[in-house]
Amino acid sequence: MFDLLRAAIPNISVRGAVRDYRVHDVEPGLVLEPRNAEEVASILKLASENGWRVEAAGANTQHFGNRRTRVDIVISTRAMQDVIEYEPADLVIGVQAGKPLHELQRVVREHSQFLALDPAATAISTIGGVLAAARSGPLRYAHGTPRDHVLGLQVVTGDGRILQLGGRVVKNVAGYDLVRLMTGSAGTLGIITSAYLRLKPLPVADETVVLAANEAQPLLQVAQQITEQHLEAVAMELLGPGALTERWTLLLRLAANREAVEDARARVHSLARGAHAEVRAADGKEWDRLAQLELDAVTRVRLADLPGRIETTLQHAQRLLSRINGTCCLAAHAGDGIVRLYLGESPAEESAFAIGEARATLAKTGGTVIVHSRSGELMRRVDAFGANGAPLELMKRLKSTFDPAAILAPGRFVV
Amino acid sequence: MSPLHGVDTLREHEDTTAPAGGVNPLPDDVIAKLRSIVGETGVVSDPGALVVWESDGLTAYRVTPRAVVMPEDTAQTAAVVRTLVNAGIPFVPRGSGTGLSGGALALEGSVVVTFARMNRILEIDARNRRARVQPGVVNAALSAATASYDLYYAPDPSSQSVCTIGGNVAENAGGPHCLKYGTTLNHILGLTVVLPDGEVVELGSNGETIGYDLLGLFIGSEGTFGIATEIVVKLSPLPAAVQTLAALFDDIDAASRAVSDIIAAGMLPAALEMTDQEAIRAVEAGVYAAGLPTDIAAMLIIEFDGRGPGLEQEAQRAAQLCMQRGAREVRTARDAAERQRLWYARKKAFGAMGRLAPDILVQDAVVPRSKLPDVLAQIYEIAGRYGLRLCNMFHAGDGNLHPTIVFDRRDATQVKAVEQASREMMKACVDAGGSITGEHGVGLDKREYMPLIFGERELQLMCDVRRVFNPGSMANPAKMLPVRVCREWQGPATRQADV
Repeated sequence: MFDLLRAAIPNISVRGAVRDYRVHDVEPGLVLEPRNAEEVASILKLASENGWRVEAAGANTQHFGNRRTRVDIVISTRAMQDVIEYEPADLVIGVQAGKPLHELQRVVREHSQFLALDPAATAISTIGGVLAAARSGPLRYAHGTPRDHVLGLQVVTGDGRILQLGGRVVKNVAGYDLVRLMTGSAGTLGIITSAYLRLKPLPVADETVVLAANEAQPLLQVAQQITEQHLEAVAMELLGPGALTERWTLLLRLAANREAVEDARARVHSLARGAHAEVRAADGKEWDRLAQLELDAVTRVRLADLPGRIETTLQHAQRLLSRINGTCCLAAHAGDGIVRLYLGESPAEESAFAIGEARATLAKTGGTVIVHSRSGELMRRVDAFGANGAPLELMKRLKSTFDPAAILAPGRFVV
Repeated sequence: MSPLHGVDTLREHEDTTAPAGGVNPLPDDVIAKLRSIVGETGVVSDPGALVVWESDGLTAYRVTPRAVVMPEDTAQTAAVVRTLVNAGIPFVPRGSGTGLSGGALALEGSVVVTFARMNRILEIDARNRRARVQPGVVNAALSAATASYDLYYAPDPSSQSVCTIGGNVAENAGGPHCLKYGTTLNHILGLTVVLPDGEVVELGSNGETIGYDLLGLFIGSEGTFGIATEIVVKLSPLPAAVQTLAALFDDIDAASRAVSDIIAAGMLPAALEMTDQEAIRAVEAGVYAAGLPTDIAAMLIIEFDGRGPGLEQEAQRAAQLCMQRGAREVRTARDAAERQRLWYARKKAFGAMGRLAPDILVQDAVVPRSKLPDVLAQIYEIAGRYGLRLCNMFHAGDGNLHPTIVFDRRDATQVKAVEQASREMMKACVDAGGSITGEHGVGLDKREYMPLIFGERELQLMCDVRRVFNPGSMANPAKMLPVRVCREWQGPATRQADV
């Protein structure tokens, strides 16, 4: 394998520590660091011809998705970190896929702009990884998920075609929206090598409010009222006891112009009083601590249904927890109806069973349960996505259009 | 050879399947089968009556469909589609026919499937801020129906009083308020789709996306992936406060620089629209006159909306930036009626232009916002060089231009000038890093412009992706992709062979 690669790409950069790229209990054969899309294309062409199984890695948070039985090559995007183009007046930036998200934020912050995505792994995540895995964080309440921020992508398909998809303008309906198709496709259709992203102006005022109570219900009520009154909250996170404080906590981020934020803060305080919730001192570091909970987790379970059913979804999450012995934190995107469980080591058999049960329950109302875990033991026993009812036939045909030899992370995603 | 070689923008599309002297009628057994599904009056096949459906909002193209079918729900739509496709007859989904790219034209002997009888709002879920609607529901009617919940449907194409949600989904429609709220893509939560083989699939879920984002892929597929028969839309809270400014400029360049100033200052207006002198004059001459001076070079409409606090200050800052760029005057709408008049001056400008000459050609290119002053100057220069009457009313904040040329297509010299000038304008926008369409879609009109922004590989792949949904090109054939790219379009015989 290596000789063929060397012949095709004489100076290909190889990374020694394949152990670092172990996913679940599978170690890749080779880790390569191509410097551009052309090198990625050469690798993928060879891989397609020879049936080598390939996946892409950014920050190497590879425990996304189902367990793979074999990984021949990991393509790391570490050697692709350039800013391609940044015109602040357009609120658009083009970067290579290996650009760490926090570095991008630093570059655009100098112009009082930001990319409105805050996945937990912001400190290490790369743009390519965030887009491929469609990772989002608390800001999704106001700003949506990666699909709402990508304007254009450069992608290399499984058979080594380099494609320019979308564009670099904020509005574009020319041709099929393959940018949306690629975003969240988990590296199973192609490998993202660069992206054009839409930026937003940094709000003038941006502050954190922390509310605490003995039960979840009064805090959910406050969150609901904030939504109904259209207060300027950009993130609303409900945290279970032990996550941030010893009680149930509602972590709020208010951002807008100064007048609006001051007014919103006063209203939130008054809503808190009405719900008998306590207003705690906040320093804004709470968001990093919340992110750390996710990074420390061995297993992440996401239960999602309509926002209006959050109390029921929370009950399902708690029932799931009660079946598993192990440490856990609970966090919820309170305005989006998504409850996350951050589990430590947990018994694989019981966990898999409890997840399956929760999935079946939520499916009855059109909800979903997604699980990602570092534990190979668990992922042998549970499907990461539970593609119940999704049009898999169409997805399979799309997959073979982009990756005819089926070399891109087979088994990782739903097809 | 020019990359635009082969663009035949203003000539009527030649329908190769139509026999000389008229429409090729459907076989009797197919009509009978269709009537058995949708009822006697649900099928129109009388050639005289079919003329109503011969074009969409882009009237330069006219093709009379072989028949028009009006199903009432998903099951009927699936049965209609199966009947047609089994008989080897392609179909074109159609809303109100307000599209501006020839997308609803019945090419290749297609039958039109309209949403005329599928105009019910099935459910309004205020708690979850969503509604389930049939595709024929009119955009503005949906907002009217949800207003009592203090909710509305945010995307607002200028044709919103007539256009349908189904059509909006097909085109990924935009509108002035996309600047802050995003396009149709950002407001659709789920779809029930009848695929071209009659199978019904659900895209989107109440939870998270499982697998590929087929919902995102379907939106903007221009009727070539099948028919969306039920649509779950996101509803947004009606803003409690709105501030609308009209900044009047003596210099259009200064106006477009003010646009960049406002965005660069970190403000995000709900809308930021420009109307030039020619368009203002057209509006002021008609029933929607807003009392604007007709000697100004351009007007910016700048709207801020939200809960209230700080809104006035923001509007004042924007007004100040306009004055610093040399605006003659900045007016503030004092009430809803005044705001409405200003918006009519913008949204009805297109219709007003139509009264100036028999024919109208509107483009939809997008350029990076910072390139607006340059590109606008080039567009006026090109029109001037060809001696054409041109006006502009467009989404300046998004860089989405709508250069509009009025002409008389009976004058062959003028037609030639319009064709050439259009190509040059499109080229100028693409060269500035832009796109050929921001919200109108490719349809038939911009099909041959696609190679300007996509390479052969991307176009081929788009054909392959279409084949996944629509293997025999039975859904809205001959649209969006250049004919030579997709092998199934070489002719009806090969199309059949490809199934």
